[in-house]
Amino acid sequence: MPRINWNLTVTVTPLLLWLVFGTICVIYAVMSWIMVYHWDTFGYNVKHKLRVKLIYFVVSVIMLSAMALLIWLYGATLK
Amino acid sequence: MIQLNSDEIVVFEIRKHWFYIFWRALALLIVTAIIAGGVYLAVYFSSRYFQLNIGGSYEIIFALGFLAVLLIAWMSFFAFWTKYYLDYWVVTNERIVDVDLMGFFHQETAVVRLDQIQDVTIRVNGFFQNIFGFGTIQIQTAGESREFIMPNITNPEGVKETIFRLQNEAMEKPKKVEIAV
Repeated sequence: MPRINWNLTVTVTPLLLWLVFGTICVIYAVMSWIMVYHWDTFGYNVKHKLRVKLIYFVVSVIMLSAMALLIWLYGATLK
Repeated sequence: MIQLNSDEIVVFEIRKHWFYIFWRALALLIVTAIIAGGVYLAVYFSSRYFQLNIGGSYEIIFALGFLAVLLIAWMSFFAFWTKYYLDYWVVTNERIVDVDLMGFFHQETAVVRLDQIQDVTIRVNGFFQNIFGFGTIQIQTAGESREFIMPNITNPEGVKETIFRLQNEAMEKPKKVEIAV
């Protein structure tokens, strides 16, 4: 039986990755604004709100920074 | 936040049981693992049949995709948590206030006065509700909306007892009657 073997070339450039990353950042900013608006407007316990914001933003920033670092690394490995 | 009357005090606030949010978090975790694992396995097995040249490191692209899925799962978890956090009941010595976040930018508040309560029914249904001690409280009222439902409440028996005690106290309390002269 003949073995199927295709060669596909899809060039993933750092610019494309930065564009995808930018889109994710915009979605993240909109979602975060909506959630923070609700916590601030309808939530009442200041301690709760501060703790949740701290956890949410610290972890998110770590993930976004890791993504930015990986894109930079990807660009660097191409050179 | 609700506005209290002059001699009204908050007796307790109650939310849905933590199991409600835990269940959603678990489902989210499973979906994230399936997406990440599925993509990894798809790339691994498809490499037998075709070669994909992306021009750079596959590992970095995969790690990026995984992080993106993780970030979306993280945001989704907090969207669930927001719904959980902003859905609550406030029981005062005069009434029960149901604050319900129906969706983003849509909050509804319903009130039932303690003297309008006719009957309180508890429904603890299924394995998890019995093991973790939560259930649904149904309050029949004499008001316009005949039924007031508090689903997945922690310790429904205790809540029912407290509601009855507060209702008795509210009934015994002499009512202020203002007479216009």
